[in-house]
Amino acid sequence: MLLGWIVGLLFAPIDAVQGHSYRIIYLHVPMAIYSQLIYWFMAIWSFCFLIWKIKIAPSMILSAAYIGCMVTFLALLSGSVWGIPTWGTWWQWDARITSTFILFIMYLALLTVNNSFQNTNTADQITAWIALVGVINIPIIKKSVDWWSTLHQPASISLTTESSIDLSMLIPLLISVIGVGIFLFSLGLKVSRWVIYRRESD
Amino acid sequence: MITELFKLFQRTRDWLGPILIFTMIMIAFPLSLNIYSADLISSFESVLVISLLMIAFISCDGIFNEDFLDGSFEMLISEGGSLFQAVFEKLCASFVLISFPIALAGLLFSIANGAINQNYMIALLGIFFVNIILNSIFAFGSAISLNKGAILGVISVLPFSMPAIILFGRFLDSISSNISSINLLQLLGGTSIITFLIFSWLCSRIIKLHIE
Repeated sequence: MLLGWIVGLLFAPIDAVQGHSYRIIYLHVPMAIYSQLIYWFMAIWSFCFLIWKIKIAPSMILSAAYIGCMVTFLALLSGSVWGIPTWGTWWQWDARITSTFILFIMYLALLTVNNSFQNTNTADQITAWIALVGVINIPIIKKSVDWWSTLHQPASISLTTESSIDLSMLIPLLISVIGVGIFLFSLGLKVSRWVIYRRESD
Repeated sequence: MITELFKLFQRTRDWLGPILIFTMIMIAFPLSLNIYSADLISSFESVLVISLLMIAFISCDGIFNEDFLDGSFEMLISEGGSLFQAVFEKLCASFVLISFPIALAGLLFSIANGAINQNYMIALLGIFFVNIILNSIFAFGSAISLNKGAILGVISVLPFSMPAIILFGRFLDSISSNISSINLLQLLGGTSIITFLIFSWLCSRIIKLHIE
């Protein structure tokens, strides 16, 4: 992660239009990607829990919700900071930004629901159902930049089409994405250990 | 179904309250602007969407509370009855007594504010379908927050209403611009049926969970 950020922040070339401000991409893009991926992860665990009653699943869902909430907040915050030099505003009620904000609320709602029930089993099952139903919003967030004409730019990187970003900027970005992924994975392990400990001690 | 309809009809406050609140919002909205203002038409869509959201929340708040607290659901389960059917009937009754009159009132106010000039039947059905979707979603919220207060249910299910709002916004846009909106109506209709069935089932699962 640090390697990606160092290369991106110090050695990647200056963008012709945005100048140095584009460098926030190395924080913003990984956070935005993982904010949605973590929700998928949570939904898959929810599905597993509801079908097979896997004991560890509620802890994984809860850990993912904590991390997802933090990551989504960072994605919104970094996007907001980026918005000032590029759009001239901190916030715009744009389809992508608003839908990501709703994702942040969904994470908060999941955590609130989970904390609202005395009975752990009831809380776990309700949280799992909500997480599973909430998946409906993820494709909307992903596709919002294509379905509406938004201030937010369309995706620059795609698995199926050629990337619109220069290779000298793309490589540090990919390193950042992988690095942030590894960091979040290790953070996830720590958080899930804490969640399991807390649940067992209750 | 008839029994649920009759039970809801007897609780006048539960079905007439949301309709009256909706009507009052619709009346209050032009008063807050200049009555002859062109802003009336342009902002009407947003006001209609927000009012429908609010009314769906109000009409579904505590929809299962009485049956849950007096043990009707518990008795139903112990007798081997279908909780899904009970929820289904309850929601159907609320569609007949609350959603349809609200759709009718919504259409009348749309016409009165000049937001809709033709395709009245399509508009009526569109508002009715979106009402079904929103009511089903908020009923799920109500099932989640049984004996926990309404706020918990609202914050947990409000994000699910986003796709319905997007779809309804497009539908209203097309209908106010007199563009063919039959495809969007079909989509709303299909979505409302699927949402209704899925959320009825989800509600029954959550209520069962509360009882267990």
